[in-house]
Formats: sequence, structure tokens, C-alpha cells
Amino acid sequence: MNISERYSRQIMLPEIGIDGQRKLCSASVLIVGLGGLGSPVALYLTAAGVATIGLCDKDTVSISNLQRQILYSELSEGLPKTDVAARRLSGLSSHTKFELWSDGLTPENAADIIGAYDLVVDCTDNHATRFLIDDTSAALGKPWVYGAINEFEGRVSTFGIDGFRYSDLYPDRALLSAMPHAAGAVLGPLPGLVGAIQAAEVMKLLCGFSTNLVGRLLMIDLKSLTFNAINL
Amino acid sequence: MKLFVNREEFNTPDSVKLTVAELLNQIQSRKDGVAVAVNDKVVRKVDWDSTFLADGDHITVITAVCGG
Repeated sequence: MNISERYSRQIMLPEIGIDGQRKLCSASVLIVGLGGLGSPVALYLTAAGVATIGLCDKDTVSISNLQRQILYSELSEGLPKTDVAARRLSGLSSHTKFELWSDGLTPENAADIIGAYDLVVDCTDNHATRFLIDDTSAALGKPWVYGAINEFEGRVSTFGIDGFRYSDLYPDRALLSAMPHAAGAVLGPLPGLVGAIQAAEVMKLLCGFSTNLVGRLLMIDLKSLTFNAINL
Repeated sequence: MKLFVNREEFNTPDSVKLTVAELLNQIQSRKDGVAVAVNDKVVRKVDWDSTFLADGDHITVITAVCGG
């Protein structure tokens, strides 16, 4: 493939260049959760030329998803998100190979699935799966890009590189894990914004940028339009 | 002393030294399932009882949002 033309606008960035593009074109990334966050993350990483993307979600598309989950259309209702996402993303790029994990991430499969990728993007809608990603990634030494949203608020960070863990930030694991999956209010563009930052973070990590969200928690409030980075 | 909690001013008597844990009680914040930063640096929960606040400190209570 002619990567220099297709990806020219990012290769122009000295921080990426042809070397960075080659890294993207040989990288494998697992996206856990194909909802509001997973949609833009999958679209941008496919567009960026990531070689292999794992799509992990056990849900089907419902009409109330369409307000923010931009991978899907009205024709997708009732269909598995992994199938619809792979079809949509395959149309965007033939350069990316998609691997579908339609059972979702479970304690039984987490090590095998996460172990197969360079990096994990957390786009889940519940704490239990985040703690599972945290545990498994720590055991395997995999970096993971955390993202979470609610109403107008978003959070992004990168764990698994400097030793500070999600469970260090939130040690009340049992209480949080017992909370129901998120089904609350959210402004549609919020996951677009947070997911775009997650996708950018993945690209920066894969290309070896020195400035990233390792050791920092980015807090976004779309209502007051404030961004604040907390040191972990 | 004057503190700022999630950007809002919060005043306490100068005579009383206040820890992170005591502040959470005073502002009736939940203590489970939240993280706390003082001056944009996370204070781990195990250190909430031993971390004293100073005049002008900015405290951020970070709820654990879980949507995706």
C-alpha cells in the first residue's frame, strides 16, 4: 500500500513522520466497549492506519445508542455491535484487520484477549470491567488508555506504564464494581470529545511521544468548558 | 483558613487543623468511590487521615464516573 499518500497529513507531523506511521501500521490495539467512546476511538484508529484492531463488546445496538454512538445507524438496531462496527470500519479502511470478541471481556477470557494486543483502550460502561482491565493489564505489563464519561464530565488517563494503577486512584473496588452499568444522562458530543482524546493518546503512545497522559488524569467538563490535568 | 473545594470557596476556623478525611466529613462528601486531589495532586485514600490542609489549598473531589 502507498502509506505515504494515504497518511500524508499525519506523516507531515515531525513527531510522527514515516517512522511513526510504520509503527501505527504494525500496531495492534484492543478496544473494550463499542459505545459512545468506542465509536470514535475505533473510527480514528482505523483512519490512522493501525494494523490490527480488536473489537470487544457483547451488546447489540439499540435505538437509544444512536444519540452518541456514531458507528451505528437505524439499520443496525438489534444487531451485534462487533458485527456492525467491523462492517462500517472495513469500509473506511482495507488496511486494518478487525478481530471480533462478541462475548465481551470476562475474567475467563481477559488474559488471552488482552495478551494478544500491544495496548488496550478502555471504553467500557462499568467499573467491574475497568478493574478487570486494570488487573489483567498490570499482570501482563500492557499499557491501557482509560476513558469514562457521565453527563458533561469526562476523564482520560494512561495506566500500566508508570506503576500507578486505576485501583490506586479508586481503591473501593467492591463498592464500585457492584454499581450498575451506566445508563445515565450524557451529552452526545461528550464521548466524541473524550474518545478523540483517547485515540490521540493511543497514537502518541504508539509513536513514542514524550508528552502524554501517563501519571496524569485529564478531567473535562463540557458544561463549564474546563480541562484540568491532575497529577497521579 | 480559606480552602477551595471543586473551585468553590470553603472557610474553616483558623484554630482547627483539618485533614482531607475531616474536610470530606465537613462538606458531607461521600468517602467511598471518590478520589481526592490537593493542589492538582492525588492524595491516596490511605493518606487522607494524615494529610493536613493549608490555607489556600485547592481540593478536588473526583467522582468515579463509569459511562462509556
